[in-house]
Amino acid sequence: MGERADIVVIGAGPAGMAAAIQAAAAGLAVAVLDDQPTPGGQIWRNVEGAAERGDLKLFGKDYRRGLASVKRFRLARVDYQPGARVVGVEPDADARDTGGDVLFVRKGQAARLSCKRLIVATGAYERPTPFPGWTLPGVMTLGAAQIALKTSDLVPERPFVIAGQGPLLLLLAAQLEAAGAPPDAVLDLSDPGLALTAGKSAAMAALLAPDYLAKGAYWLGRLRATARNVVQIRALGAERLRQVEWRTAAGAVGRIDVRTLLVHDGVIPNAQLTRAMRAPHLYDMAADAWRPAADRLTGQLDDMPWVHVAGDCAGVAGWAAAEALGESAGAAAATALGRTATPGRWSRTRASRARALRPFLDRIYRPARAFQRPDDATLVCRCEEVTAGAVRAAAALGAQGPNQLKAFTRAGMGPCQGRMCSQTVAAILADAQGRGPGDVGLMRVRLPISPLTVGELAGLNETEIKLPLS
Amino acid sequence: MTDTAQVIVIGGGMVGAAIAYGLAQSGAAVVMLDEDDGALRTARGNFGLVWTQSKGLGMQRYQEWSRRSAEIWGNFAREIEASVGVDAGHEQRGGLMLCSSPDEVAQSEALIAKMQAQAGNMPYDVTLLDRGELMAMVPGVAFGPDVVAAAYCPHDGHANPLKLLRGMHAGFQAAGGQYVPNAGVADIERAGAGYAAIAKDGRRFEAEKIVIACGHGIPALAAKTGLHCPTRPQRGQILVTERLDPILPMPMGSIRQTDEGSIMLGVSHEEVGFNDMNTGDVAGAIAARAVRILPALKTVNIVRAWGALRVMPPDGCPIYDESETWPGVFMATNHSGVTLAAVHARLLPRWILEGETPVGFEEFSVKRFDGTPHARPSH
Amino acid sequence: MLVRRTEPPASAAVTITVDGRDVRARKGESVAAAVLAAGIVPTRLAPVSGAPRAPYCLMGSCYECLMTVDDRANVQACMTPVKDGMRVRTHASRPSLRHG
Repeated sequence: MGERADIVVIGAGPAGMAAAIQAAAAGLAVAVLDDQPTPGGQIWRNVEGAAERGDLKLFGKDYRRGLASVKRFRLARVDYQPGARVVGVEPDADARDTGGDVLFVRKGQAARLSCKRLIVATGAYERPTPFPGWTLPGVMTLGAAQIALKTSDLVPERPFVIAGQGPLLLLLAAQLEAAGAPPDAVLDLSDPGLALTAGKSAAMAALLAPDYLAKGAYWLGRLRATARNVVQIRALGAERLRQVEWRTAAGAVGRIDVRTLLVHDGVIPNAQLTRAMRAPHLYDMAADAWRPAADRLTGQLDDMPWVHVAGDCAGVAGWAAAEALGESAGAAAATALGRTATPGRWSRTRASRARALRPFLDRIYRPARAFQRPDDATLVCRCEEVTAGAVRAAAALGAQGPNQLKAFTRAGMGPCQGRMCSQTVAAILADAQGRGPGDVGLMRVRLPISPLTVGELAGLNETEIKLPLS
Repeated sequence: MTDTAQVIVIGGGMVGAAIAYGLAQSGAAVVMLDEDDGALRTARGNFGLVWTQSKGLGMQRYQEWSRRSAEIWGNFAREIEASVGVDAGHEQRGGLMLCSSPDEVAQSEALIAKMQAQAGNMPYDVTLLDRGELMAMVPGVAFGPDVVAAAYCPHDGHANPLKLLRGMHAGFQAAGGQYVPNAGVADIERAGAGYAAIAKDGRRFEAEKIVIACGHGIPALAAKTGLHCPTRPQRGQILVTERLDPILPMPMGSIRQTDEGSIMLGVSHEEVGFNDMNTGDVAGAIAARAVRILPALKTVNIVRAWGALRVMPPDGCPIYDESETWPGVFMATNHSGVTLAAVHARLLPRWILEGETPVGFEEFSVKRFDGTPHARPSH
Repeated sequence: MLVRRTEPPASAAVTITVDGRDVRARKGESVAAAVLAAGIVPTRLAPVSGAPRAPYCLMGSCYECLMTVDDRANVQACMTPVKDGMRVRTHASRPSLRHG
């Protein structure tokens, strides 16, 4: 049989670490499963290593702040298991809210960990950006470049271009400049009028979080000089990227010789696990993304009270909110198990402050139309190499929704299991049916949420059922 | 909204789509009403065998029916490809059922003897191969030591069920059929000389005849139209590997390589009601068996897995019937939608349109369960 | 695609082989980062069309960085920390089960 813990936390980013620290402080047996080799999540990726290298300055105040959190986490009495890839969660069969098992792979072995409460803190990932040529070697996400800089002191090979939209565009351009590798051009794919049309209420909310706004203005100032507003891009090359072609709203076309192209279109919650559990999810129109239906403070799932979500996987709001919500999820889970737990008194304030900015950010950083409505020839499913045109043809055949469409086209059937295409497929289908993405839904996710070998999976055959060969 | 057609087919899965496709090919004006995307849709969970060996134990007519479908499957697939360009990936190079112990060999021998005895005019061409003969038949496949024998049948084969489903949907529409998605049917009423199907959202569709072929939805609609449908859900779980170089020349019961290169590993038989989740323990058992069969699979990645619910009649054999009190209302159900797709498309339209049936077809009537305790299912 | 700002000191470096060629890597970094820093692209051919591909997201989402690591095919290189002596191979799209 597998091991037991009172609480299992999945993810060791700001939310997961804070939740684990809270629950452990309440005297519970807490296990933390994280797929990375070191704690910190994507935002504080390799913060200990960067500190050792003396590179903390490069990444700014927010990154430096992570070192203290990681240190606190290292000192907490938790069973921290790095390099653990979670493949699924199974609620107890008898009653849905007594707990369940987490199925994961670590060091080439599949294992089960039973718990009474589960805290899912799996963060966010970059919204997929399908455009012509996006599969060429030399095209990477902006997040990838940031990870390479944090973990390996790597910068993009020049000449290189950053394209897309979103706050990370500004941050990374500034970080790369500080690292001595400024982009040769920035292609801004956001709607030119958006920043000006953001409403008064959003501006008011932003006033509650002045430090964030100040930061934005600083990045923006550094970037303006090299940015060009465009409506379309194409990556050109045969064996690898050679050029980026852009087109402006006025129809002007230009090309730049490049070695590297970094693309970005904001981030969306990584909800693969809660989707595989079939917890209800909500479509957030402002964020153009799905998130689990959960209590906004404790993260308790509406339909599965033994499960909490915390941090960006519950709705993208950044590290400060993630840490605060992790604390309150950890405290709520501990309280539910009969312990006394008090989240840091600033949790609620910090979370609401960080969230106050979201409507503003969501309005000025709308997903780029060029990426979200790719032309027929563009691949939307990188794994199975399915084009937007093939998806449209299957939609025209009357596919009711994303699951039938997946069956008809194979989009979403490869190893990434729809992480890179399910949103795009749903958006294309929504257009074809004249419905909103919220009505169309996303294709179903099932266990295992990430691939594992037949041999590893055989290790989960704990009841030792021996099936006849045929 | 009211629509008048000759026939309404309720159900857009493997059985409904095959019948609707066949009816449209026959020139009938057909409307196919399908459920929404959240339907159980067993048709998206098929293993993909076009299989004859072991099919129909205890019901000679089903044995013959499966064999007949396997015989015409190739033509059926070519017709779909010719009309809409979708290759259903059909191959008929024979099929194997592997045995791992003297017990399993004895069971296989007994099954072959019984099937041969009931086969009648249509010979049951299944032979038992020992390990050496098996290795010679599929060279390059390194079976594990547990594999001691296999039953081989030349009529067996497989296809790509998802391409088949898409091909039938496309072919149906190309032949003039009207497909209406998101139109799960809540009720059937008499309407003049014909009938009306009332969708859950209130839309109304009228036709001279109605075919109820919506899998797990049949029992409720059958009960409203003087029919009885004693099927139950039975869960099967399947695992799929990443794409591999071609290695398996033919399907082997619980393991087959698809036209795309993935290896599919099946399949469980679980009585868990309408729960179609897949689970770690059964997936683990399927994986463990796969490693016993082909140890080299150990380091191959599983990229997807699922559970799906078979539509299982009490005796495991198909049910086709027409209501006596609501003449012109038909039902068709079984758990072998892929194998039987060819006969469903080619032979059921004549029954529905003209009342013309193959010899012995009445044996598929649901009346076979009248007054008898439900027989143990076979597959 | 990516270049090192500074080479790691010997104490912070390990050596792996990529298609038989020695590649120096920084301790703690991923196989994908090491391969990109060495300028080795493409890292695989897409299993459907055979088109060239290389690591894309570096955070475990896109599965574009699948490589053969110590004889195991299609391992996520971005989620695999380098180890001294690790043998990495490119172009492992469709593993073969064939013996001999």
